[in-house]
Amino acid sequence: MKRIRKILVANRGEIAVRIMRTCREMGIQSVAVYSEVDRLSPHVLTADEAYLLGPAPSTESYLNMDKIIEIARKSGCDAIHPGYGFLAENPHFARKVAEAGLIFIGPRPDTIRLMGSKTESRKIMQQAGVPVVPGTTRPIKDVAEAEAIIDSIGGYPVMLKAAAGGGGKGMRIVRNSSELPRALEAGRNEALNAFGDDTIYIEKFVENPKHIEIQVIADEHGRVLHLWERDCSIQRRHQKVIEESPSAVLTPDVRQRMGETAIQAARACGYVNAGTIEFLVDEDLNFYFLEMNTRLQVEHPVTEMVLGLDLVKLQIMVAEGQPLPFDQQDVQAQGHAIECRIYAEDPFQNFAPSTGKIEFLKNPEGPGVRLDSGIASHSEITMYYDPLMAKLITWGADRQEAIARMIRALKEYQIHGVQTTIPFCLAVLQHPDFVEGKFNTGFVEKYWKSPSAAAQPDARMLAIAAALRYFTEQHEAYLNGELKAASDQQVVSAWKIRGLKEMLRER
Amino acid sequence: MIYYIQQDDQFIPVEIEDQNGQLIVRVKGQVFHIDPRRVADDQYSFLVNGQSLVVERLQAVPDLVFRIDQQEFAVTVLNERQKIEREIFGQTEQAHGHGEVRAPMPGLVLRIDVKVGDEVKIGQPLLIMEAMKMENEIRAPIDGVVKEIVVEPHQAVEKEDLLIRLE
Repeated sequence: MKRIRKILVANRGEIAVRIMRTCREMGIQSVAVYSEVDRLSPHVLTADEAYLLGPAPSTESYLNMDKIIEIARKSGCDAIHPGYGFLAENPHFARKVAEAGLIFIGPRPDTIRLMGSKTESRKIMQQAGVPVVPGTTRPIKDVAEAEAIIDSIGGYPVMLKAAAGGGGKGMRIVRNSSELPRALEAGRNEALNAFGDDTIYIEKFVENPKHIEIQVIADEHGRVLHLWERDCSIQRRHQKVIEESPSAVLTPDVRQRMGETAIQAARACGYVNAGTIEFLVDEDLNFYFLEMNTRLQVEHPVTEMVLGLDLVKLQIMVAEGQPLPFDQQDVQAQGHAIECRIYAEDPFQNFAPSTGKIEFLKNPEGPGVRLDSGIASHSEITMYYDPLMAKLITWGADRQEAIARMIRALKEYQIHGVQTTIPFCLAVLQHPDFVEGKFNTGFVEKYWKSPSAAAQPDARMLAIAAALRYFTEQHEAYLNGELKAASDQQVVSAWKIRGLKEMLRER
Repeated sequence: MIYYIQQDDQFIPVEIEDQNGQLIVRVKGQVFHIDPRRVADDQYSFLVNGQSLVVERLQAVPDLVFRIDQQEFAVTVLNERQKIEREIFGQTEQAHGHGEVRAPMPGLVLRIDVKVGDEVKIGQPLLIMEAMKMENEIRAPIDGVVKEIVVEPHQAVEKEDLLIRLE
C-alpha cells in the first residue's frame, strides 16, 4: 500500500479548494498550481504550497501537462488530483502521471480512454447488457451518412454528440434535415476547440427525459458500490444548474435496478475509483445509459450530504490501494440534498457569460447550508475559464425542508459585480412543477422563455427608490465636502470634513 | 425634497421630508417612515415602517436599479431639472435601435454568415461567437437587410459592442 502525503491539485476554483480541504483534514499537504491571473484566487490561498504555471489561457496553464507533472515532482508530491474539467478525463495525462512515478487520483488511463470515447463506451455497455439510447457508435463522416443513420433509427429528432464530449459541448439537437448541415459543422468546430477531436456521432433524441445519474465507487480489490442517484434534470444549454438526491420521482424498484445496472456498467469497464453513470429516464421510468464520467462530478456534494460521506477522501483511500471501508448495505441515504450552481451568467440574457470584478460578497450561512465557493471579494471573473463561481448545497430532513432552506440561503447570498444564476435558481425552486417533482430536461425551455429581471414596483418600492436616491446623494455630498454647516456660513475645515467622513464610514 | 418617478409618460411625485436622517416619504397618498443606513458600498439597510430590508444598489440614478431579497426593481427617479428635461426632450438617452445587433457577451467572432445587402429573417443566424468555450449563434432581431458589418472573423469583442447593423 502506497501512503499519500502530498497532493498536487491540477485545477482551480471551487473544486480545487474543496479537494484541498479534505487533504487538510487527512493531514495531507496540498500543492496548488495557478495561472498569472489566479495569483490571489482562493485555491492559491487555501493550499500549503503554490506554483505558477503560466499565462491565463488554459492551454498555457491548467492544460500544460508536462509543467504540472514537473511541479508535482519537484515539490515532492506523491499524487495528482485532477478535479473535474481541464485534464480530469484526459487519458494521456493520467498515463504521463503514472509514468512519472506519481499516483493519478482517478481511474486507470485505459478506462478513461474507453469511457471517454462515447462511441466505444456505448459498445461496451451494449455488450454488458446495459440499456442504451438507440443510435450509432460510428463516427459520422458527412451529411449523407448522417441522414442514412437517422433514417435507420426512426428519424428526427436526433442528438449530435461529440465522441470526446462532456459538459454539453459539441451537442446539438436536430429536429429536421434542413438543420442538419449547420448543426454538424457547429458541433464539429465546438468539439475540436473544446477537446481537440471533431468526431461526432448520432443518437435518437429522447423527448423530455429526466437526467438521473448514479454515483459509483470501486476499489482495487474488486469491490464496486453504488452511492445512489442524483437528479440533474434542471439544465440550460445541456449543462446542469440544479441537482438533488434522492430523485423525487423514482420508485424504490427502479432506483434499485438503476443502482445495480450502474455497478454492472462499472464492472464492464474494470472501473476503479469514483465515477458516475449518467442515464436518461423517460416518462415511463425506462432508463438508458448515456455516458460515464470518469471523474469526480461537480454535483458530488449532494451525494455526500445525504450519505454522510466524503467522496474525495474515499478517492484518496482507493488511490492508496486501501479497500473501501463499508459495504453496499451500509450505504443508506438520510434526508434530502439540493445543489444550486452559481454561475457568472445573466439568466435574463439567455445565460450569456458575465465577466467583471466581485465588488461585494456576502455568503449564505446557517442550518443545513454548505457552500463550496471559488470566489472571494475582489475576485476577477474572466472569460478564460468556466463561469462556475460556487455551489450552494442545502440539506433537509425531507425534500420540502431542503427546498425551503435553499430558498432562504439563496436570498442571503449577495454577489455584486457580475450577473448570477441566483434569480433563476430561486424561480425554479418556487415553481409548482419543481416543487411537485414534475420536471424534466425541458424545464428551462418551457418556463424560462422571456423572463424579465425587474418586477413591477408598488408604492412602497417607489418610496424606497426615492429614499435611496436622496440618501446616496446626501452621503456623496458629505464625502465630497460640499455640505457646509447649514446654520452658520463658515467654511468647513479640513478636519471637520475628515471627521464627517469617518463618522459616515462607521455607520 | 421632491422627486419624480417616471413610469411610461407619467411622472409620479414623491415627497421626502428629512427629520435628522429619518425620512418621511409620501407617494400615491401613502406615507412611509424610512430609516436608511449605509452598510457598505452599494449596500443599505432600510427600516421601512419597521420592516427590515437589505437594499442592494446595482445601478445609480436616474435609472436606478436595486435588489431586495434577490428581486430586482428598475425605477427611474428624477429631480425637478431632469423631469423638465424629459418632458421637453423625451428620453434623455436614445434606446438602441432595434436593427443594431450587439454582442450579448464578451468573446471572439468566429464566423460571419451574412454579407452586406443580404435579406435576413427574424431569428436567422448572422454570426457565430465563441465565449467561455461555447459557440453562440447571434440571430437577427428583426426582418431586414444587412446594412453594415462592423466586425470581422477572429476579432475579439466586448459586451454591447456593435456587430452588425440591419435596416
